[in-house]
This record gives sequence, structure tokens and C-alpha cells, in this order.
Amino acid sequence: MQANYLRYLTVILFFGMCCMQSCNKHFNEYYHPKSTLGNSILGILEEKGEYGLFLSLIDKADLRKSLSESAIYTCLAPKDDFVKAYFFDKLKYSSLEQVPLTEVRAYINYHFINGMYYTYDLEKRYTATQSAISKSRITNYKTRSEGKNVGKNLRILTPSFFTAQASDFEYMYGEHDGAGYFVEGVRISKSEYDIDARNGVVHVLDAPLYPALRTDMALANDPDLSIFSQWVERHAQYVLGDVDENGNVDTTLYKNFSFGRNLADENILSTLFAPTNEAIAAYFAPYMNLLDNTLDSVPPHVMYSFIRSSVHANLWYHSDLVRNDPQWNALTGFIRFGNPVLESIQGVTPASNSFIYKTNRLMESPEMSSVRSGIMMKYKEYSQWFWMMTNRGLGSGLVDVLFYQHSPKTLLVQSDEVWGSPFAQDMDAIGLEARLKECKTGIFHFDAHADGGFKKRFYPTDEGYILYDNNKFYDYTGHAVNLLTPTPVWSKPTGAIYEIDGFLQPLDRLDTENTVWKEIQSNASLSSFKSLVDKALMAGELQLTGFFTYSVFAPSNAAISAAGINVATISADAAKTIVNRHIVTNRHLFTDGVFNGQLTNKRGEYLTFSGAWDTFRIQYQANVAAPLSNASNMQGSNGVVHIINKVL
Amino acid sequence: MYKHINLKSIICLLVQLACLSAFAQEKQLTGKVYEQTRSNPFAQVSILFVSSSDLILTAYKSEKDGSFQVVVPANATKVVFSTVGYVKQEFHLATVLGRLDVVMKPDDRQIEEVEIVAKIKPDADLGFVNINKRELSSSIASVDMKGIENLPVVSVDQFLQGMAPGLQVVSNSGDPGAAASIRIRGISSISGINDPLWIIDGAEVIGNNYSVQSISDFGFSPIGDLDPSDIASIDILKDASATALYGSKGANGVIVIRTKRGKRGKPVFNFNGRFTLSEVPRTIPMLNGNEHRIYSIERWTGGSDNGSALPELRGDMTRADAWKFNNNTDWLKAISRTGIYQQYNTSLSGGGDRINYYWGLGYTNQYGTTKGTGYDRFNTRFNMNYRVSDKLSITADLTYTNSLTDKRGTRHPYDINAGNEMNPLRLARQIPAYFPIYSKNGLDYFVDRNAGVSFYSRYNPLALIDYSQFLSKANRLMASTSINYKILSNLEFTTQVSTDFREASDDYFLPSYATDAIAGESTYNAGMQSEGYQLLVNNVNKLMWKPIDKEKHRLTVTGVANLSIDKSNNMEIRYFNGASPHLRAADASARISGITGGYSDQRYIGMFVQGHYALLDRYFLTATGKTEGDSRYGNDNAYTIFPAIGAAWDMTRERGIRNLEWISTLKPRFAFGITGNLPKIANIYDIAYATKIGYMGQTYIYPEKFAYENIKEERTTEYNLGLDFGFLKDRVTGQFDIYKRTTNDLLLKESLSSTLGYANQYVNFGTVENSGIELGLTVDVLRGGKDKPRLKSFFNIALNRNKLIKLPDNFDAGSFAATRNGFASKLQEGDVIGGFYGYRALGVYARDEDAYLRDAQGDLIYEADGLTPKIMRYGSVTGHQFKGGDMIYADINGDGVINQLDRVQIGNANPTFFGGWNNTLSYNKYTLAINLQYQFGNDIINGTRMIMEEMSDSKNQAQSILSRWRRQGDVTDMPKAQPSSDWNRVASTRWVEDGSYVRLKSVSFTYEAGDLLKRWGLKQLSFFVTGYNLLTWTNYLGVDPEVPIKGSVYLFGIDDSYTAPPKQYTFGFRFNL
Repeated sequence: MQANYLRYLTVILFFGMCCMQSCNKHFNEYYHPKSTLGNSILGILEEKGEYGLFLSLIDKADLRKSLSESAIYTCLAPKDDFVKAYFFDKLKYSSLEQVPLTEVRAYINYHFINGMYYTYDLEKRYTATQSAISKSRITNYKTRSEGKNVGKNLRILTPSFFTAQASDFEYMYGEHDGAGYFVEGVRISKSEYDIDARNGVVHVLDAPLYPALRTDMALANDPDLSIFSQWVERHAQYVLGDVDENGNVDTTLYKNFSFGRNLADENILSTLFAPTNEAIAAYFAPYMNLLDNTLDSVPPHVMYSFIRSSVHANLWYHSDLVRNDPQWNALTGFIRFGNPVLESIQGVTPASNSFIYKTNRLMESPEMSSVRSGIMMKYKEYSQWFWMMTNRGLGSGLVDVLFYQHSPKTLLVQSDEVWGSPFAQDMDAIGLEARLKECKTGIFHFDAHADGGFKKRFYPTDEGYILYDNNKFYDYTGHAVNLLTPTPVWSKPTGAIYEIDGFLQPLDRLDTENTVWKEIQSNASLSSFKSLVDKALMAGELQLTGFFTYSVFAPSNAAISAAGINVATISADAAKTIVNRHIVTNRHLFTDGVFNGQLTNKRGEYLTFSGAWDTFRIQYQANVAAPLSNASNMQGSNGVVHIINKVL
Repeated sequence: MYKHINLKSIICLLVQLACLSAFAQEKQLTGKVYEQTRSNPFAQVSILFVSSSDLILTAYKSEKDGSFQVVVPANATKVVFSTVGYVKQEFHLATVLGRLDVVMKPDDRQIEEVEIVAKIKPDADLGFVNINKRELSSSIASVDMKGIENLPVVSVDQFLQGMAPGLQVVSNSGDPGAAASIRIRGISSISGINDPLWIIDGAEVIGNNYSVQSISDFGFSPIGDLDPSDIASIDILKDASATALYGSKGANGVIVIRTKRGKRGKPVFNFNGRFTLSEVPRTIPMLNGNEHRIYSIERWTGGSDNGSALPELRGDMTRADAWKFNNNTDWLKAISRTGIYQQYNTSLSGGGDRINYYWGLGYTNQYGTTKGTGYDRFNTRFNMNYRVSDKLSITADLTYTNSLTDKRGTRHPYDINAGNEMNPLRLARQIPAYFPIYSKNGLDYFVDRNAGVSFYSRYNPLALIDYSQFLSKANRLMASTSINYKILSNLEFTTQVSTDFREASDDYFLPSYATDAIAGESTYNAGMQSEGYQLLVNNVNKLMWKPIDKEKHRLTVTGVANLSIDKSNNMEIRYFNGASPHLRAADASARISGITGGYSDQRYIGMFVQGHYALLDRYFLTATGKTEGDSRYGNDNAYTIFPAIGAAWDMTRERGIRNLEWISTLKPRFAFGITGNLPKIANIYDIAYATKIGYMGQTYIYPEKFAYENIKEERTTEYNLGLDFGFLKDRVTGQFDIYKRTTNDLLLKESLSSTLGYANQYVNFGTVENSGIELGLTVDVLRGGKDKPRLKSFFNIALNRNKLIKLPDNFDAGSFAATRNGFASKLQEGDVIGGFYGYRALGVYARDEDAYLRDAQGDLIYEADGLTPKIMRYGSVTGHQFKGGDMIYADINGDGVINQLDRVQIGNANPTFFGGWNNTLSYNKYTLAINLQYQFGNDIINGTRMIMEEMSDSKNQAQSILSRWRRQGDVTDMPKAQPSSDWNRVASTRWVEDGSYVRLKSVSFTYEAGDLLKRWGLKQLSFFVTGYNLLTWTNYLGVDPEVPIKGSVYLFGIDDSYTAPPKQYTFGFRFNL
């Protein structure tokens, strides 16, 4: 009996054990799913064979764990022959053992793209992208980063790319044997691709894929671009790395460029219109006398300006340039407005983080196409002006930095000898500010050269009007300087530079002691008009400075008396009517005959202006008045006063 | 901690032994006991020394040869020789001068009584009254307490699972000290409490009205402070006929507990020791560091990776911080351990003719399977009965419990952010596996507030456990005394006064270095302290009258008047920004972030009269009328009445059936009753004021709600039709019940007109209905003698259907709606309470084109341009277009957009049926007990899996996501990892699972060694080994299908990173002295 029960108990325990296993089956299956992507990338390569050299390099670089378990990649698998082609044929090593570790790692990393991209994904990324320019840029992929060495960029092109922009492939890489999947110019195998791996996907390459050079290195590597490369390198600088958590400084020197776009950074994508050596020589040929007959003497800031006009943000395939012409812009503006860019492209130099188009023309920057370029090129003669432009903003307004549409300018500059002592950089802040205004008083918003030379007239500046008369320039105070160079020392289509022998006085627009009202007050021949202004309660208005400017055509005492106006008894309204009739807002009215026509006075009545200098007349209805020859064009901080001989 | 264990254990033993030694005296008595014929010596006869007051001082047994040589206590006046079936022999010691020979004569009368007792069914304990089970008309389930001493349970509620039909017990957590939620016959209240009332030794104890402030998320177990070893019986009162005695407190059923009391006889010292090892519960396998890094990059980059994102995770070992991101840490393993659990119980009981006593001592010490969890309890209970005279008797009971719960490994009282709790177990699943456990120097835990790739870097679960302090302490004192006086032979008066006092406190502190917090942050040297007490005083006065006690007519009338006072007071203070992590007190903190508190004072008075009439000893009628008043009632309803009536018919007494030997019990019964339920809502009828900060920062007071005096209890009407049966000489016995309970006048909020200035108010309206059937079946499969195998099997099952019958039009649904993890509850007429709504998930799009919309013929539907295929969208007509790797949802309204209009009921947290199956196989000295427990048909929102598969942020994920969609054509149910993928993790059937399970709750094997070590003084020695929670058959994909049902009444059954009940292996032994 006991034996039977023991048997029963054994059977029960046996089934119990079975149940114990089965009750967790569903749970275990769910949380331990069978992966369809079983092997790692390196495991796949090992299984396939033909990649022994690549794997041996990976082991040499101690990257096996990193590349098989730690992150997801798209592996562009190079066969053994391709590895040999790169290291032995291209780099001329005789054995892999000779290859420095950094080069090994760079090669390996170049064949691992971050992320998992099946051909479907590659194609979808391109086709699903809406705008054409975005389509182009989606072809850019990033290879594996390591430490401070960020991944490189490469382009993967899909069949749809060939449908839409096959010409770009030809432009970049030459002829191809039909559409397909390409990495840079190298085809992905038509039969061995989309190979599943646990940590990504493997595509086999049909040809060697050589790591592309970074932009600065690619420039240096192209003999046609050696001058431009030298220019670029002159703007290179090196910085130490970051301080780590233990306070240790990374003493690696990291390269960057100071001209606004770091071509040495793989994360910064650019398009360059790099002038060939010939193009640079051609541009500077007319100025060789200024450059001591050597291109090495091109002023650094001129180089800088040209480099900036040659560098564009982001990647632009040729078809993108054509399609978007001229809406792509360099660091210095839309160079297409100033240069025949597309027509000047001669070829392409491959680089990882940029498209480098070689051009047969130097891309002239906006500033180099403006009158400012004269100071930049002749900076040794006008070093004070150059300094003031560089450091004090003297050149603002001279250049349209985007579209090459510079407003006309005439510069009256002082040579360093005329500038005298102290030099600008030695002046104190107050003196420097005063000198800045003095210089600006010599910048006419008018191209006198294009006008056939200087004429007797008032030329507008930011600091008041300057009268030119008989080879002299007069400021508002009557102070005069001489024109030293009747022909310009530098000219561009929108302006020219002349030398003068002194500094003109700037007009202070905020000076409350030099207003039109103060002028009226202080002039004895305007005492009646002053009384009228007082009666009309407009003294305060004419004293306003800054935003408010007036041109006051003030009748003389005699004129008022002749008009029978009794200043003592006239009503305030009547006085105001008279005063407002003689005032025109803004200060642009002079007697130099530049303007002839009608303007409204403060009452809204039309006044007619005609003639110049002695023949200048102002007419209201039937009343015609003439300015007194010695009592007109008196510039105040808030306007101009002309004394006229008749009440309008 | 171990020091405390040892100290307490030693003290416990010494005290007990000291008591024993008190009985030792010098004077000896020798002699021999013979059988009637004097030819045979009589062994094992009880030899009792009794005092002049009939108190049994000590007791011995005669030896095998009938001889005895015993020590006579100093104050003993007589010695009594007794054994079952023989006439008791008494001798005055003063007359015994030398050797004493005793002859035991058979007692024919007593033998007859033994046979009669065997047939009489025991009384059912209704708390206030006892009724013989044969005459009972109510549905009452008695729990078989046998075997509880073998189980590694701290609290009786853990033992109750599957032990009685209709009793749903769900553990709140597998952590030490955690309580369980209990439901009897479903949900009857939306606003209030659905937990049963607890009665211990006739007195209400702090239970579902618990109000002591606690920051514990375990819930409170009313009997968590009661040592299971002290419990003698548990009766579950289920229908309204039985629970109507408790008026407004009985609507959710009543659990009546009787504790052990001393029996007449020599003192018996009982020892029970258990040592348990707890296995780490089933865990969901998480991604290792490598897999996590790969997943993180996939999720972050979403298929467009240029290498700039998450450079730390790309396996670049040249980085200076590579040590942080290139690990394979199994965080769950790191915070887990094998749990150790010790329980020691002793009791000393005995008594004489007048005084019986029971003194129990217990010590429990438990280390949970999660580090930083533990429970330590010392408890003692003293029960004494004193029969002063034949008319007067007195009882005095006293229980004291001291417990200490270590909660560092459980949810901390701070959240990491909204919806993301600071719970080490949860964090162990969330913190990336690529982080290390220790910092670079190997001395400290890795905690980094600025690791960059994941903010979880500052929430190292081990640091939270080991650096924090989180203790809950509780002291509980229950005292009761009663006087029973027999006024007449048929009139008896009993009065009882009882108190239940519990004070608890929580002490929490999180130093700044645990989370790398900086000054000003809410977790910078943050802490929390709470303290509170609750005092419940009861007085029960009972008058029992038996005016008719004849063979054909018996009538018992019981009148009970009771009153209770329930007071509580608590306070909680939260602080942070302390000056030093070593100053761990609120007064050392720079900022107090909040102080809350509560005070309540409730009074209750009730009275009922119950008549129990027996006609011809076969027709039984019980009628009850109860009236009560409660300070929480509105003035317009100060008092209320609860009637109940029950009838039963013992058919076996009928002539036609009496002679059918195969029918031993057949009793149909019917009961009807009305009970009440008053939700625990503060200031339910009063006007309430609140404060706010207004213009210029000035504080103002405003009336928050107005008074509504018409508040009354929710009233539950219940009909119960049952059948008690026994066949084949009670080889098959059982109980079958069918019931319907309707709760009217639900206390719900109705919306008010905005012109009143109040949004809503509580009023009584609405109806909910529960109906179901219950079956309990006991089969003596093998009924052998002592030397033959015996197999007893008890099976029970319960089905309950819940339905919301009526909700008025102005029901303020917003006040009774819950949303968790995007799942929403919805209360509406005709619906079930516990249903939840969401989208119906249909899998994952294998290819992009699979998301193209097609007409009924399968042809593509195009956009207005006639060229572009229309694609299923999420949210709106301009929302996300689904594509390969995205979840597929049923477009219920067919508009091509998955939005709110497509949400349907996708689950119901209520089980279809549940129960247990308990088997006991005995043979000779061996006993094998196998208990199974099951639940079927309930749906669970797997919130844990939701966290671990939602692929939404930097946290770790389950290994199941390795099957995620990764490429076009992948056929899987796991969507792709991608950024901003709300549409893939919305509340849907993807997260809803069938919670059905069958659990092998316990397997216990006992060996009764008997007197094997008698020479050492150990008697009735037995050894046992028990496996607990050994196996669970389920398709549920969480760690355990037993998901807490606490929290929201209308949205429960959410698996939210609770610790699963562990597998436990217990070895124990017990013996008597």
C-alpha cells in the first residue's frame, strides 16, 4: 500500500515539475524573442569571409566590441583587395603592420556609417524628402566618430538620385554604368546588400572606397588651388581641447579657421568656389604695383574678404546651384550678384565635408567691389582710415554686404601724413569719436566721380552738407580744406576716393545752441521774424533737435516791414500763418540749384523753388522772393536758415 | 536588526520558561492508575492539581505503566484524575497521606455526549451573536484554520486567499508588511469604502475606517497587527441578513475573528518556529547595456542618424567618460536578494474550572527580496476567562503589537516627475543598464546629475535604498473586557467595553548625495515625518432571552445596544533644503514644503433586536431590526433603520428524507436584509471653508461647499438564496448561494448650476447592482482511520456581476472619472464599474504601404490630387501619418483618423470567477496539504510592461523590444523605436492582458513526530516544510497576475511596478511542553 502511494506521489511530482516548466513558457518566449537579426556586423563579415584584412584591422584597433555590440551602424564592407588597394597601392605601405593606428582607425570608421540604413531607407529618405535642395542634402551621411575625431561625411546616392540629378553624379564622380546605390563614386554591390545584423546592416562595396580628405586638406592637396589653400591656411588657428572632469587639459591642438566657417570641422558642411592660382593672378594683375609685384603681398584682409566670398554654407550640388541661382549666398553675401559663378566653375575637388568647385575667377566680395576696397588695398597709405574702418565702423554704409548694390559714395580721405599725430589707435575715446565724425564729414553720399568731378554745390554727408567751391571744401562753419587729387586715387563703379589736406568740421545735430531758432535769435536782420515766431509760440518747435529738421526762409526785417505787417499788433494766429508759410520741413533745401520744383510748407501750401545761387528764387502764389546772398545756407543743428527779401 | 531579533527572542523564551518554573514545588505525590478491572495499568491519565478556587495549578500524565511521581504545588488542595470516557476521580490532598492508587471507571454518560457533539454543527460567529450553523439562514463562510501554522504569512489576510467562496483577496505588494485588499461580493460603493468590517472577539477594531496618517503605499491591514497564531476562527459574513447587525458598516461584509483562549487542563506551552527563504520574484528581463545603447540610438535618431546624437553611447572607449556608459549592469539583480523570514510563536494556555488563560508571544522578522525592505514585529496577546460563579463570568483580553517596517526599497514619498514615482524597484527597471553601480573611485554609488544622456543617472536605486531612511513604526493596543451575567436560566446579559488604539509614525529622509541634488532642489536633504493615532472605543450591551425552549418551539431574542467613539489625529510635515545630510529632522531644514494634518471625531450609537425562532427543530426564522445614529449623518436623517429576515429549512428532519442515508444535510435557506455604507468623506454634510491666496498675496477664506443636511448612508438591499448540503454521510458537504445586492442612494456628486458658486455637491442618488453565485464544496475523498490514507478536498468558486443601474442626468462625471496611463474610466448606466477605455490595437504595420487607406473593395483611397494615397493618421486630419513600424489601431468610425472617437471599452478589471481548491492528504504521521487559488476573466492594464516597452525616453526597456520592428516587412507586434511616438504607446489593448491565473498557493508537508523527543520534554513535536507561491499558471506577461485592486474604485487592476509575491520555502517545527 505504501509503495503504491509513493508511486502516486512520484507521478504527481513529475507532472508538477513539467507544469513548473510550462507555466513560464509564454512569459519566457515573449521576453526572449527570437531575433531575426542574429549576428553582429563583425559576425556577418566573419561568416562571409573575404573580409579578413578588414577584420584584422578592427582587431588591431581594438574596436571589435565597439563595432559589434555597442551602437548601430551601416557597414560598407570592403573586401580584402580593397583594403590592399588603399593601404598598399594608394598610401604605399608595404604591410598593414606599418600603418599607424590612427590611420587604421580612420579607415575603419570611414566604413561604418552611424545608424542602420537599409537600401529601402536610403531610397526612402531621398524620395520622401519634399524640396529638391533637401533631397540633395539627405544624401549626406556621417561615418563613425571616435573621441575628438568626429565622423566624416560621405554621400550615398540611390536610384532616385539618378532619376532626378544624374548630372550631379557625373559632375562629381564622372561617368557611371547605370543607376544604383553608390557611396561617393563607389557602387554598392547589386547582390550583397541589406545583410541583416544585430547592430545594423551590411552593404558590400564593389570597389575600394578611399576616405575623403577634409576640406582644408583637400585644398592643400590640389595643386591648382595652392594659392587659395595658402590663403586659407593663413587663417588657421589652433586651440587646446577641453578640460576633463579631473581638471586635465586635453593638449591636442585642434585646428579651426577664423574667417567664419571652420573648414577643419567635419560637422560643418560647406560649398567652396575655390579660385585657381590662375584666377587669383588674373584678378590682381592690375594691382600688382600696389602689391610689390607679388601675390604674396595681397593684404590679409583682402584675402579674408575673398575667402569669405568663396565659402558657402551647406552642400550644394551643381544642379542645386543652377536651380537656385542666385539664391545661394556665401559668408559675404549673394556672390552671384557680383560674379558669374556658375560660368566660372572648372571642376571639382573631392572633400569629405564640402563640395569644392574650382573656379577660373576670383569671387569678388561685396566690399571688394565697393569704394571700401580702395582703403583695403591701399591700406599702407591710408592706414588711419583702414584702422578707423576696421575698428571704429567708419566703413559702415559703404558696402551692401549682401547684394553688391552699394549706394554711391565719394570719400575725401587724408593720407597718413595729413592725418598727423596722434594716430587713431593712440587717441583717447573722446578724441577718437570726434575724429570719426570728422572723417565721416568727408564721406559724400554721392558719386562725384561718376558725376564728372566736383562742382560747386553742397554735398550731403552724415555730418552736414559740405560745399565744394573752387577746389575747396567748406563745412558748415565755413572752414575749408583743399582737394589734393583732382582725379580719384581709387575708383569703383559706385564711388571714388580723393585726398584732401585737412579735416572738415562735422555738424552736431543735437547741438541746441546751434538750432535754426538760435540762428534767428542771433541775427539782427531777423528780429521782426523772431517776434512773429514768438507771437506764434513756435520758438520751442524750432528749437527741437534730433528728429526734427527745418528749412526756414526767413523774411528780413525790411521785407516784413515792406509787407506792412505790424509785428506788435498782429494776432498770434496771423503770426503763425506767416511763420509756417516760410518753413519747409527737412533740411534739403539750398540755393545750389540741385533741387528745382515744388515743396509744401508747414501749412501745406506749395512753394516753388527755382534757379541756383544768385538766380535762386522762392515763390508762393504771386509772391517771389530771393535769398540774400550772404545770409542764406546757414546750417544749424536742426535745419537751414535762408534770409529772403520778401514776405511770401 | 539581528541584535533585536536575538534579544527579543531570548526575552520571549526566558519569560515563558520563568512562568513554567513557577509551578515547580518540592512536595511529591506517588502512586499508580489502574483500569477498572485493576488488571491493567492506565497510561496517559491527566493528573491535575487544583487550588481551593478550582484553578488548575499544574498537570501531569501517568506513565506507560500507570505510575506517577509528581510534584505537588504548594497551594493545591485537591488532585483530579481524568481522561476521556472515564469518570473523573477527585481526592483532597489533605486526606492523601502516602502512596495513592487510583481506579478509573468508565463513564457511560460521557461517552454518549461525545457522540452527540460529533454530530452537532458548531456555532457560527456573527460577532454580536452566535447561531448554530444548522439553524443559520445567512450566508456565512467559515475559514478552515488548519495548516495556517505551517504557512509563512505575516498577516491573516494573506492566508485567506481562496479559503472561502466569495472572498476576493488581492495582495497589494510582495514587500514585507504589505497588506491585502479584500472584497466580499463586489463593489457596492463608488465614493466610499468597499472593504469589509472587521470584528475581533466581538468588538469592532480599526479597519476600513483607518485614518492614521501614513505615507505608506502598502495600504493598511486591519489585522496586520494580529498574529495569525493567535487566531482560533474566522467567519465571513456575506449577506445582508447577517451583516444587518452592523447597520451602516456592514454593506461590504463582515469578517469575524475569534482569538484563541485557554482550555481547562494543565498548562500547555506551545512553540512554533518557522524559517523561510524567499526567492526573488519573477522579473522581466531587461536589456543589457549593449542592447540598451543600440535601442537608445535607434529611438533617439528614429532612422535618421548622423552620429551627433548620444555620442556617449556609441561604444567609443577613447572618451574620458567611457566608464559611465559602457557597462552591463543588471540593476534588478543588484537590488534583489534572497529574502529571509523568521517567525517564532509561543503560547501558554490552560485553565481550571474557573479561570482559563491564553498568553501568546510572537516575533516576526522579515527581510524582503528587495533590498531596503523589511518588517519586524513583536506581539503579545493575553486572553483570560474568569468564571466567578455559575452566573457571573468575566473576560479580559489584551493585545499589544509593535511593528517596524523598512520601506527604503519601496516607493519613496517623492516623485521624480509627474507620473514617475521614486521607487527603487521601478527605477531598477528604468535606469539604463549601461550605467555602472559604483562611481569611478569604486567607493560611492554612481550618482550623476549631469550624465547627459539620461536623467536617470541621478536615480541609482541602490543609492536611494542605502542612503535614505524610511521607517514606519506602529504601536497598537487592543484591550477588551466583558461581563456576562445569567439573570435567569433563560436570560443572559453581557456587556463589553473594548478599545483599539493605534499610533503610527513615518520617518523619511533623503540626503542630498543620494540624488546628487543641489541646494534648492526639492530632494536636497529632504524629509518627511508623520505621526498620528486613532482610538476606537466600543461598548456593546447584549441581552439574550430564551422565552421558549421546548422541543417543538424555540425562540431566542437578542437585543444589543452598542455605541462607539472613533477619534483620530494626525500630522505630516515635509521639508527640504536642510543644511546638512546629517541633520535629519524637520527642525533642521531650511524650508518646510508642507504641513498637513487631520482630525476626526465620530460618534455612533446603534441598537438591534434579533429574534431567532425554531419550529420542530427544522424550520428556522431569524428576524432583525436595527436602528442607528451616526454623527456623519445629516440632521435630516439622524437615525435610520435596517431590517433583515432569514429563513432556513432543515430538510433532513423531514420524514421522507430522514431515512435517506446518502443525504446527511439538506438545508435551503433564504435571507433578505438591508445594510448601509457611509463613505469616509470629510465634512460630507457640513459647510466647509478653505483658504486661498488672493490679491496682493493676502490670504482669504471662502466657503468651499455648503451644508447639505439631507445626507444619509448608501443603502444596500440584498437577497440571498442558499443551500447547505451534505451527502454520503457528509463525505460531500457544501454550500451554494445565489445573491443579488442592490445599493441605492449612492453618495455621488451632482453638478450644480454655475450661478450657485459651487460646482457640485454630494447627494444620495444612483444605483449599483451586484449579483452572483458562490459554491463551496468539501469532499472527504478518502476517509480512512489513523493508519489509512485520508484525503480531504475543499473547492470553492464565486461569480459576481457588477452593473451600474442608474445614474441621474446631472451626475458630475468629472468627479468620478479617473485616468491612468491614458486609460480612462467611464461611469455610465448599464456599464460595469471597473471597465476601462482605450484604442483597440491590431498589431504593427509591416510596411509603409500597409497604412494606406483602402475602400471596402480593397482599392486605394487617394487624396484630393488623385495621386497621393491617403494614409491613416493619428489625432487629426493633419496628424502623424502611420507607416511601417507604427501600431495599427481599429478605426472604429472609419474616418481614417485614429482619435478619441475610436476609443472603446477594452477591458474589465473584475474577475469572471475566482476561488480556491485546497487538499489535505494524510497518512500515518505524514500530512501533505496542497492549496490552489485561481482567478479568471479579469483584465489587467499592464502598467509595468507599458513602462518597459513604450520606448519613450532614455529608460531601460524589457528584452521583449528586441522583437521590435526595424525594417520594412518585419512582421511583429512590437513597434519601432523612434522619437515622439505617442501614437505607439497610447492606451490600447496592447497593454491590456488577461489576468487569469491558477496559483499553487502552498504545498505543505508535515511530519508528526509526536513524542519522539519526549525525553527532552518535547511533546507533539512536528516538523514541516512549506512551499508558498510555488507556481502560477498564467498567460499574463507581468511579474505576477495578482495586481492590487486598491486605489480608484472605478479604475483599478493596474499593474504598476509592485513587488510580486515571492516564492517562499519554509522549514518549521512546533512542539508542546
